[in-house]
Amino acid sequence: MGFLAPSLLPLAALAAIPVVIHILSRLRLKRAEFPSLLLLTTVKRERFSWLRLKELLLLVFRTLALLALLLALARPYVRHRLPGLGRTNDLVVILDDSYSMGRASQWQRALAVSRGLLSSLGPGRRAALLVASQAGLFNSSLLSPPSSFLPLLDSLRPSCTEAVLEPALRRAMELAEPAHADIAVVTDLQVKAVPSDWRPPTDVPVTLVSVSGPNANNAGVTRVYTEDRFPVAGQATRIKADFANYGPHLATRTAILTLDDRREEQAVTIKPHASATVTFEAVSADSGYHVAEVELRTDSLEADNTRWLAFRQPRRIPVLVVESPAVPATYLADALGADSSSVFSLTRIAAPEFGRYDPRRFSTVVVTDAAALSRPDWTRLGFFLQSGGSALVMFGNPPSDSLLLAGRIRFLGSARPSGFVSVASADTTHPVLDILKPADLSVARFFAHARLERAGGRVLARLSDGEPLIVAADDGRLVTWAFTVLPEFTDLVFKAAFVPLLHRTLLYLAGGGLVADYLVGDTIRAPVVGAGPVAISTPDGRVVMEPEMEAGRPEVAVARTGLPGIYRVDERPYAVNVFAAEGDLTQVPTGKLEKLGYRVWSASDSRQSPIANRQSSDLSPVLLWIAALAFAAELLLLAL
Amino acid sequence: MPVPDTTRFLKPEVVAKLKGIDLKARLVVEGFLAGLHRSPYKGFSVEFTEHRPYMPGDEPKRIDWKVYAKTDRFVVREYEEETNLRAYLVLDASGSMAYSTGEVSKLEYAGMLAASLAYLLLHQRDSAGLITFTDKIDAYVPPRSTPAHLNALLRQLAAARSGGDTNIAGTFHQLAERVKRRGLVIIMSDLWDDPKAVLTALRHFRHKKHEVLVFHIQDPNEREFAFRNPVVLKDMETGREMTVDPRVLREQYQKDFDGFFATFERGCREAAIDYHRVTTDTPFDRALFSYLERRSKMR
Repeated sequence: MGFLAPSLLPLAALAAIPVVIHILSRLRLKRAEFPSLLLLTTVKRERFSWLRLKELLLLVFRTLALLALLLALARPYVRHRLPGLGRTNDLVVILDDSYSMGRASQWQRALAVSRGLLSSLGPGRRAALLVASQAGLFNSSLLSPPSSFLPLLDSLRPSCTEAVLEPALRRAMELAEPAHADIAVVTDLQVKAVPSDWRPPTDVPVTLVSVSGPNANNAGVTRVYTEDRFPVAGQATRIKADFANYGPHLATRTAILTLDDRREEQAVTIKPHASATVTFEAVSADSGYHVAEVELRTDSLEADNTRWLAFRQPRRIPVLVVESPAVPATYLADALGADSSSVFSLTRIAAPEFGRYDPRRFSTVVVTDAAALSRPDWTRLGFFLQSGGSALVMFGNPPSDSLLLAGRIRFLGSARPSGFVSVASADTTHPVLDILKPADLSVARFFAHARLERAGGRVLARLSDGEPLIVAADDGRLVTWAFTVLPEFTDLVFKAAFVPLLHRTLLYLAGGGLVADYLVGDTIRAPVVGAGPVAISTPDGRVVMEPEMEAGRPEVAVARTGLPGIYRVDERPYAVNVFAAEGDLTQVPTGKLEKLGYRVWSASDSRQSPIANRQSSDLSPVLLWIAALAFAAELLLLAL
Repeated sequence: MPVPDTTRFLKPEVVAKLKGIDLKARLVVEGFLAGLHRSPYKGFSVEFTEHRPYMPGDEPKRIDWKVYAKTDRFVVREYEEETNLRAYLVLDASGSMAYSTGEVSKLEYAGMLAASLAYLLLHQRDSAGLITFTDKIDAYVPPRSTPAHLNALLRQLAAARSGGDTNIAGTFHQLAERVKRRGLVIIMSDLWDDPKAVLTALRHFRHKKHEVLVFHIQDPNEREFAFRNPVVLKDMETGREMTVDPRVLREQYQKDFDGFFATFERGCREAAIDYHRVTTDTPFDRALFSYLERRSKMR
């Protein structure tokens, strides 16, 4: 049972008023003296039973009349036909327009099924059409006649997004519940499409209409990346691509790489339900931005056959090292290889000179001892970070302030353990540490360190005394080390992991090679130079946008990217790809769906659709009759 | 010259406004006697006024044989009264007698009636005594006929306070045994007790050769039961409480109430007891007439 106007349901509580009045009147009875109860005792004994019964019946009839009347306002209904009350339900159709629906003729089948459902509704019935990728954006109300949606259906195409049915289901529920309408989802029943942790309410039937054919061989490109995580100019890097075969048969295809203006083809064989990686021979060594496109030819689902990569190869990374007499940057300079072959261009200055340098000339600032910077220096460093720079801050001597960089670093004090502590855990999924193993770091001993609070960042390594050792800020612009590179603090400087750790940290902070991999539907936020109009090219044309100031620097936001491909903002490329897992066409077992409470019907099933001509019954007239009868019974009792 | 209407002074609500029970009694009786001259109850006056020729229907015992011996004519004496009547005014002072919905409670009404009767009795040179009771005899003033006795009666009446339970039948039996010399027992009570037992007790008076006059006093609301909404009623004698819905009980209650009175009326008639049902808004003259009617029968 459900209610068409559930917001009026609380009014039913008013039906308690007669009961409350009855109780109150009992509590507040007037008292009076009377000469003798001699006669009343006899009279009451005779009349008592009937009186009590009459009083009780009056209360029951009065409450029932009121309750029925108030419940009728909430318009209750049941989802089956009752004699004289049944009518065909309204229908909300959700069309799964994820890119997997574009396989072969599946989309055409989905449109045909949707047309059939809308056309099957009787006269006077209402319908709504929700497109999964745009749920809530349009067609958000039930309209009559349902056939008005047919022209819209003809104009729809599969999107390049993944199937996320839950928002559409929730929106559909909002429409269906008050109208006691049914919900039909036209989908290919992909495993990940149907939310397994979300059950449809029992009073709104949700029918999943499967339009998929038998499982087909589908293979797609799942990832394109550079061989070196942080490619630098002058060091040749190759492009690699991962491919997945979602089908049950061996897939032999041709993989085509287009790197800038070069093209390379390779044959790739992928086992059933497996993946394969191809390393292309073409190399990139020039500085600047590069675009790679990998295509896998060819199968019934095109959307996941092509994937793009945009990356940058910086020439040299200018690094400003701020050192103090107490913590010289000797070990640091040695590790970074201060010669012409190094990708880093080091400039070493003493801490008091920091105020005379414009840090914006540098990609990254390294502070060897947080205690060496004055308050104005910290303020200056904060502005530098805001304007797009990055910093590596190390702790040697305790600084005078506990809150640094406007609270981004919280210094809690110094720790000098008896003996030493070592690294207890390391997050090797982070780009800074992904080339290391925890054991590489755990061999190092730390004799003194700062105690830092995480302050919203991510702890990349933690010491055996529980204190954070390396903390990376969420925006990727600040890394804090709870130690400095002196043997008094740690012997890490003598370990093999030190150089890669330092290189990766600085490359990470400089952003070399890391160009975010966007998915269709994401918003690209691109920093630009200057406040003038910016030309943006997208896979389907060019637009000009005015930048907006964000965190003190101009940027443009390309909202809700709709197509995969390369987007260029001020000539800087950004790759936008489809969600790779959408290419997996494996279907969820219908038994599991039915357990969750869904009804499942295959469009190829010759039986009649379980949705067509479903009926429900409005209980309001029945309740009004009950109210009237109870009211009449009350009047009759009063007259007795 | 218009005759002043003294009957208004016989209304209980008017009399009740006066201070002092002696004044009230006097007002009632004087007003009653003044009105009597114009009333059809002329035959019940208390003083001799004239002889008149015998008419068929007159009681032979009222023929003045002395006049007949002298004049050889039958004449009858009018308004001759006797002086040897012994009257016992029996006043119920139980808790239920305090009930009042108007300006006069039942006890006040009964007190004023008793005072008036005492005044009248002594005025006629009869003897009057007073008994007040609740569940037992509370006060007993023996009958006297001296004018000064009136003060004693009135003092006792003024001192009467309602309260406590009632035991009418028991008290009447006790009283019937106590009063040795036959006389007129005038009972003023609401008789809220078992009718059967009360009637038996009244018959006990008759058995002792007493004449009995019962004023069954009620408040008008006792029958009307004019409560509108459900109410918790408290018995003024027992203190017991009962929740009642008057709208539902009223009809049956009134029927039973009338039956209650009818039982007394019938029982009293069968025992040759004068029974008068009065409410606290009944003018006193009706009660006094009742008395005189009974008095005349006792000649």
